Amino acid sequence: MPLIELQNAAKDYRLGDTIINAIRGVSLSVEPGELLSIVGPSGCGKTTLLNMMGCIDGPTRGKVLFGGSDVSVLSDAELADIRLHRIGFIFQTFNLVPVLSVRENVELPMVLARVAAGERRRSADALIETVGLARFRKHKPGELSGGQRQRVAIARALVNHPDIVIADEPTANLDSATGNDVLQVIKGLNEHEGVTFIFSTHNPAILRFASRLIRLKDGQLENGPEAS
Amino acid sequence: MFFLRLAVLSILSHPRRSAVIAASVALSVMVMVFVEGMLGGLRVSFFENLLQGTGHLQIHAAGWQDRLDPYSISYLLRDPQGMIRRIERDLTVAPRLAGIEPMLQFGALLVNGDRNVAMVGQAVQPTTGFFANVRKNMLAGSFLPAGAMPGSRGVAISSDIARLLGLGLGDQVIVLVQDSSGSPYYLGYRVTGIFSTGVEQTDEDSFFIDLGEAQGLLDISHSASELRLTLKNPDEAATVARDLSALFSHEKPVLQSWRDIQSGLVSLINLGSIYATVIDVIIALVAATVITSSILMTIFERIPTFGTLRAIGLKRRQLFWILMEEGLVLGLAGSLLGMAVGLPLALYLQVHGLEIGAFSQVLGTSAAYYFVVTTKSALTVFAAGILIAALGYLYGASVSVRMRLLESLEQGA
Repeated sequence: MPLIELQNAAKDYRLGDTIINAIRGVSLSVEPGELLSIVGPSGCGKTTLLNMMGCIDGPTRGKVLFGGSDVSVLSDAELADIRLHRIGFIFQTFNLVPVLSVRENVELPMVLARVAAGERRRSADALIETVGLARFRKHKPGELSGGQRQRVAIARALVNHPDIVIADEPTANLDSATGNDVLQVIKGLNEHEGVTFIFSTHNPAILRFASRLIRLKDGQLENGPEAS
Repeated sequence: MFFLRLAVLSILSHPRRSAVIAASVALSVMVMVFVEGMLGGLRVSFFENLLQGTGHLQIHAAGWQDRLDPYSISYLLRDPQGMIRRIERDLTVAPRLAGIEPMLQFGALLVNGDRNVAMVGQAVQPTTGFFANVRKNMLAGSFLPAGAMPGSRGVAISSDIARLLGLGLGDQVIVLVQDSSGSPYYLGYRVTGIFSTGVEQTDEDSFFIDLGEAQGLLDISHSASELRLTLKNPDEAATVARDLSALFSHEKPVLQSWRDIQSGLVSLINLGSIYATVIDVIIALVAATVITSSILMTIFERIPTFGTLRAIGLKRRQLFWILMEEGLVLGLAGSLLGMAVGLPLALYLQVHGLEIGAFSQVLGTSAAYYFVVTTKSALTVFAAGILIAALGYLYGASVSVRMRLLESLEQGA
């Protein structure tokens, strides 16, 4: 069974009197273990698509199925539970909590999942080490470079052992060397830990990391209902 | 604990705004503790004056309420001691009774040479539990010295009257009255006590004399103008009055509870309570309004962070409580600060009093007004301080919780 399935999903936004069709009937599925890349120019609807796949936003029309369940019928609390236990998020702007240390930021999803303090610390430290930030676990996000912050975000996304990690342009705010570094971490986790990743990018240079590619243009898949 | 830590860290990350919020709460708590202490003092002072001035319940002879002269001796209880015995034997009333005394009030002229002054004679037993403000404020001599032989207990007058009449301790003063037959009659008494309560009404209008001696002077042996009762619970005055009315159904005495006698002061106290509540509410509203803008700024600039937290699984309800926790922490800090300053001030005024000058005459208290801060009132104010901050946070918390997740996230983009 696919982890995520979009059935002719569409998303419209109202901007004053104008209706903007951000996503126009996209159908696709994401299988476990994939490293799926969504590419397309700015404004093509990548973030909107990821938001629907990550249960952050619902479709205006069509269906989004997560683990076979139609997310549009789920309550706000149920969606929060899916995001907590089954999805990890990596944002373009890192979105770390500035007042918390690296370790506390990584622990945060486990706190929400009511994991015991000792186990939280062990898991967080192990992941921080995996992303190469062991020396910085007590630092605040403001004391880290962009690449280091994104590594913290990766550790946070993985800490609850999600079924899938959704990364929205994870390298957009990083220089090419650091971005490359972050993508190596993502690829390593995908290959060695079997973590499913979906990431969006508009940088064709990083497409080589993906196991599958989806091109998006004007809210539609460029090569038909499901491109590979 | 994690969320509490998050709340504390968030507070510390905005030191200036947090200080404004905590200081506003602290200031409100200080004012409220001051107002509550003042009102508490007013209530205690009222009940003390009430108890000393009127008792909780008075029994007068039938027809007493129709008298034209307030100090007429035409309406007297003929056998007050017999009535006391009946009351003390009554199984319904006796358990609720704290004390009972006969008293006699009469009009008199105090004369010394060519000087005289019209006054109210307060005839009481030397061991009376009433008029504590007189008994405790003796400047010279003692209040109707109990050891003295009957007939030689003399009178207690205020220092103002002593000065007016040119009298000193041990001097003789003529007490001229209209006796029970309507004839003028007088006797000379030694001034055995000089007092000063600071309350004009007492100092300038009343003198005190032994009940037995006054009965002899007025030729009304064994009679009294009233029986004054104190109850274990003043709120039972009306029900005790009903029981006494049944007990003395034959005599049909006039029964007056403290609420009847002090209706004006009761209204004043109730009005004071309403004013204090209004003041407290205004303080709370002003403080909540002042801090709301700071709170909203603090909350709204963190909307993207809240979006992130919700994106990684935080529920709306949990976000609401994180923010409320933040408000409670700030409220607690502000309340503690306010209490640390306001409470010692109120407690100082509880011990040393506040000079209120002429207003003391309105309240019937001495010139210094003493605050009363109870544990309950202090805790109430403390809780109110926390509530102010919580109220301030409530709006910001509900706005951020209602916001769509995507909208929250987009504010950070």
